Amino acid sequence: MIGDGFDPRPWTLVLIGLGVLLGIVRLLLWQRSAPVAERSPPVRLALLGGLQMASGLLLFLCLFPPSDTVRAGALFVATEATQQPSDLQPGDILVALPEAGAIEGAVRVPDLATALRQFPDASGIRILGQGLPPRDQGIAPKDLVYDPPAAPRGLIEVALPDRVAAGASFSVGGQIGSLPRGSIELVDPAGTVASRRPVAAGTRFIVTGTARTPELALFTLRLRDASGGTVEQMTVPVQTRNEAPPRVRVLAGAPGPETKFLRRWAGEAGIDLGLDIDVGAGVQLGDGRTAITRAALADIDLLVIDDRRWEGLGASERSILTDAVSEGLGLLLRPTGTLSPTSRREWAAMGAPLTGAGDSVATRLDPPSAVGEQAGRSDTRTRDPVVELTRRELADPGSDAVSLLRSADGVALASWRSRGRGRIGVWTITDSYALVLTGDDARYADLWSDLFSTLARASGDNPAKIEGLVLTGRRTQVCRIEGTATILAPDGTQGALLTDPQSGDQACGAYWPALDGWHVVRDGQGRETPFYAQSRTSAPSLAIWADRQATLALTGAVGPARGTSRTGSPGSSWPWFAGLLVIAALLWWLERRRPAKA
Amino acid sequence: MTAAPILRARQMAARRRAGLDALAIGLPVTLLLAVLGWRLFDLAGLAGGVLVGSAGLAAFAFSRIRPLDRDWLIRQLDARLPQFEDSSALLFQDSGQASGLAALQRNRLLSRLPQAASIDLAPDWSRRAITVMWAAGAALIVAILVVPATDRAPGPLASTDSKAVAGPPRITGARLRITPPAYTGLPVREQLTLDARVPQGSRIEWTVALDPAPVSAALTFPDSVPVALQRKASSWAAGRTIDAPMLYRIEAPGLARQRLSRIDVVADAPPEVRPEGTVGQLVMVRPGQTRWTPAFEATDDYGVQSAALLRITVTQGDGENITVIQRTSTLTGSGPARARLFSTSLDLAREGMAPGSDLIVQLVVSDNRAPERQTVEGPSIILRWPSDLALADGLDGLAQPVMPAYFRSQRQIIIDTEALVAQRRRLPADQFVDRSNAIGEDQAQLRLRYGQFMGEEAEGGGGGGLALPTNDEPARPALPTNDAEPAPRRPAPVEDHSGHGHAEGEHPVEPGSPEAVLAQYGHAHDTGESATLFDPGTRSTLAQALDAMWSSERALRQGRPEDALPFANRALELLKDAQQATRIFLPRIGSRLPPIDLSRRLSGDREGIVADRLIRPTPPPVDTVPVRAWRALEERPGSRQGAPLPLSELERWVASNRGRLSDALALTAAIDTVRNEPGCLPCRRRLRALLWTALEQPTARVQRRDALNERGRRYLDALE
Repeated sequence: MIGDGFDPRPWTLVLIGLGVLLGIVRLLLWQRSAPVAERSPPVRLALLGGLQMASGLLLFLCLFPPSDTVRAGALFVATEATQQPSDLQPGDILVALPEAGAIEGAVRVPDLATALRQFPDASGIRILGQGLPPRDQGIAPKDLVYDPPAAPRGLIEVALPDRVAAGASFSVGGQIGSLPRGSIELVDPAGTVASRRPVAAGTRFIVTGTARTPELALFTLRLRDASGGTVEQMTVPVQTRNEAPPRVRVLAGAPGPETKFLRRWAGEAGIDLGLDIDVGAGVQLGDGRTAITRAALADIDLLVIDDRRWEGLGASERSILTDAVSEGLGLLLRPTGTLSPTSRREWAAMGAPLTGAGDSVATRLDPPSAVGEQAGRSDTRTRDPVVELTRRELADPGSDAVSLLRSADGVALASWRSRGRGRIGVWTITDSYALVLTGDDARYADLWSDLFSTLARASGDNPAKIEGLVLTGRRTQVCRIEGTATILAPDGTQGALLTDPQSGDQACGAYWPALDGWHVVRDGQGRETPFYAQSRTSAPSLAIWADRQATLALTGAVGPARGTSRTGSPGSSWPWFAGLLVIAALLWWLERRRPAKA
Repeated sequence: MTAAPILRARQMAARRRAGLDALAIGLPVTLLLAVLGWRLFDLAGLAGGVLVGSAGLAAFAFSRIRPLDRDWLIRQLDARLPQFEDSSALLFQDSGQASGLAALQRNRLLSRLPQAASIDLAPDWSRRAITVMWAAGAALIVAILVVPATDRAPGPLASTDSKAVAGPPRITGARLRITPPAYTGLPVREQLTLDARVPQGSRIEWTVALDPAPVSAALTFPDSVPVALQRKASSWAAGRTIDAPMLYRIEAPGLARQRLSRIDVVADAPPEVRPEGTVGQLVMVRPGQTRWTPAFEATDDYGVQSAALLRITVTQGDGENITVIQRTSTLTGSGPARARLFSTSLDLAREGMAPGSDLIVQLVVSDNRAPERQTVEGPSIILRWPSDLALADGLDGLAQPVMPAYFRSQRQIIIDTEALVAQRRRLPADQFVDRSNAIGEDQAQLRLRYGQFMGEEAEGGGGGGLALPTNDEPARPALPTNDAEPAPRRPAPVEDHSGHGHAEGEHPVEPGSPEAVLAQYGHAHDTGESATLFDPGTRSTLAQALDAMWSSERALRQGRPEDALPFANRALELLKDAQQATRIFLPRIGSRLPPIDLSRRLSGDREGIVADRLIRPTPPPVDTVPVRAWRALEERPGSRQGAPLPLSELERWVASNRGRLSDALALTAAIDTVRNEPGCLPCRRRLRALLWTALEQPTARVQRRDALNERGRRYLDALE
């Protein structure tokens, strides 16, 4: 390319134009001055003029040959499942990453970085196929051109459950690719379908299962097409840990079935739950008086209190309670009647602002998930309709409030907010025991398990945490590593896990599992965290979709990289020079030639 | 022409014999070909074998018949009959051709021709050839039928090369011959897999090929005594009758320990009886009906005995005076054995039916199970002849069959009585008494009507014990009714059960019965069994009303209407009271409050009021045997990998919880496999999958949330 400062082309064009003009003027002058008999016929005159203009143009082109004959090509990167590209133009460079199959005429490169180093002057990068693998996503420039193929058929997104409480239900959510019609089913370890839902292209789904005894279990998520054939299936690892049960105290102002059934469930679930019912006038029922002191509250994990008991607390007790929540205690408020304005104010100050009249209204829980066949005692869950419950018309309208449970018509029945390190929840249902009475005790246990799990004080035991879905051969992030951690693969091999200093106190490290199956992260304190590496072959759509979305995120806003940029190297002058020579010779011959006088 | 029809007949006889002889010799070959073809190529082979064999047989027979031509006949005649003087050939010459001496000799022979009639030219049966051929053919056919079966059985457990190799014995083939019990009518079948699903009572014969042959071999069953396999030529055989699902394995000295195989049993279902042609179980007599044809359909999975017993019960009489006549008759079913139709026609008059009678029929069928049959009493059908059907005679049921009973109300009785008292002076004495008596009769009717609410004991005073019209005691001798819903047909046809409503189906209400009165005048919310109709106050009010009615009636019958009026008015008042008390109370059970300490009452003394400590519910055991096994089978690397697997404990647990488990046999088999092949990962996975079904679903526990790290805690503290 010629330097940016001065472009001689316009000046040259002006000079040549002036020369041509001079030549034509000279011709005309000659014509006028010649005697009439010797004047040229007008045809010859026009021919001469035309040839002069053509020679001027050719001279310019000879000096500045147009450079558009050679364009700098785009870099075409073939990734997984790339078809042989048909729209390559001269100058385009086709490289193939290791994931791509056999591509004719492609330069094989081990990764995108190598391709970028080998072809630094490519005018743009165009990605073909399913998208860049995670290896190349980090170094790819931000203005890729990528025309993604159609979504894969199978499971494109799956959210697997985190740790599950023993006996509690868990849900697996996800999204289906382009499969037009089919069904998704969750199969329990014994091969029985626990939950089944119809799906169509692009639908999101949630299927639920129930964990049983502590430790590891493998469920299966299976996508079937309309004819019943398996499209994809993946393993759903479910971990249940035997954890120290929370210490819960229930303060109530009156005995009632709600506390009775709560106590019964807690006994079955191994929760240390103490009931303290103050019936007034110094008479007390239950397991014993709960002292509202700082020390006593530090020893428990969750306090459940109803409005009547709250009103019976002294001011100092309330402030001690509020402080204890800030230090991590969970507090569940259980309005059972019309709230007094004082209580409302106090609860709002504490972090549970409630609106609503507080009247008793009927509500209904969501019907249980559409379960095709469910094993065990969860057959009670298939019963329809769900029993009608009563709730207090109170709600936390704040955007900070997280709703834990919604009724069938979308009203929040339980919500919580955090205060300091603790959490304050509000439970507006007053007769959840009706679920047990109607035979739905599993649902009852589920609800309260969810509530207690969310609100109770956090446990001090913090093992390593594995982020996201683990697929063999792909990067897995392990966080909260303490000390020198090792990873045990299913075949028993051990590998040290290095902590990335840049991850700060998240203390993360990366691991690339090679085998599918249970792995264990053992941290410096000897604690073990199992995680399951999925085989990539059983549900390939997940990885394909992840790569595709990541690659799409890297595409720039600019238009396609095709032919926008040209190389600066000037084209060859020789053809133009030859043309100039021919025209000049013709001009010379035409000018010299005198018609023979007859 | 030759005069030799006699000779011809001899020849024909000989030819026939030769043909039959050839057929007898060649037929085994044809059969052999047919059997071979069938064995090798099934039906097409059979047809081909028959065709080829028949063609060969025909050719063979023809070749045996053809030599018996005229020359042979002439030779035979010359040889056998010296009277023909070696000139038999002349007999077959044309008479015109013979001349001279030849013609003379021919005529001589012709005159001796009758002597030829007695000779038997037929060749003897070639007995030896026939015997040999049939014996060899039969042996070969048997061999073909038996041998290829074992040849075709490479066996699921067999390795591919069948060469005899030294070393421990291996199972190179196994065949199960399953003979279902004869009564099932199922064909004998054979299979090459060791797992089987057989009808109950089937006999299974195992044929096992072991290579190289061990010293002995046996089928061992974990739950019962082993069965020794008997050696037969190259294979081993044993048999056993299967009555319950079981596991077994083949064992032999030196034979690698086999996995347990499983035999499932399909139990014979008892027959099912379904009334045919009636909706519900109650049929009402149509006016003019003289015969009744109840029909039942009995279905069974293998077959119903064609003879069945029909129990016929006829009730006669009304009210409390009911007699029951029972008899049985034998029916013969029609139709296929699996769905027989039983039907009979009963003459109502001969059965002793009268208005108010019930005719109850019940079919008792049994299936053809051996050794003991399964007998089932089907649902009964009741033919009811309502007592007042005669009212509608001739109207063909158009008229309402039950006429309401009209009677005067208490208020009407009072009005009538007052009118009678007012007319006293104008009426003659006896007419006055008559009318008074008539009103008394009305009063009696009304009293009886209300008495029905209170039980029949209310008659004649009413003050005594009040037996309520509940169904607590059977009013009649127990009838052999089977109120269970008739079982649906086995393929579960879509049936309309709309006829099973409460009004007419199961508990038909007899007109005039207490239930009917209640249904007509009252409104019961509860079932008859558990009802106490009225609260005690209403009951006593009604009783007093009855009392008053009785007094009123007594006065009226004695011709003293003035004396009756106060009682009648009182009865009316009481009735109105009772009408207003329409609530029906049910006693509540369950709340047992402690007695009230009256000494403390209203004193304000709270000293010593302490609630009992609540008993802590004991959580269900967590660490059960299946849970430990489930945990030990976990495929997690790390410290917990070598946890001991409590297989023996688990096996004992399975044995003691057999009834609770959905498939205890599979679990037992899986435990056995894991024990014998500790390194088999798929076997461990299978055991773990089966254990999932054995695990109790625990109550949902609580999951503790993760604590934050130091930075997170600081962040939350700062937020506050």
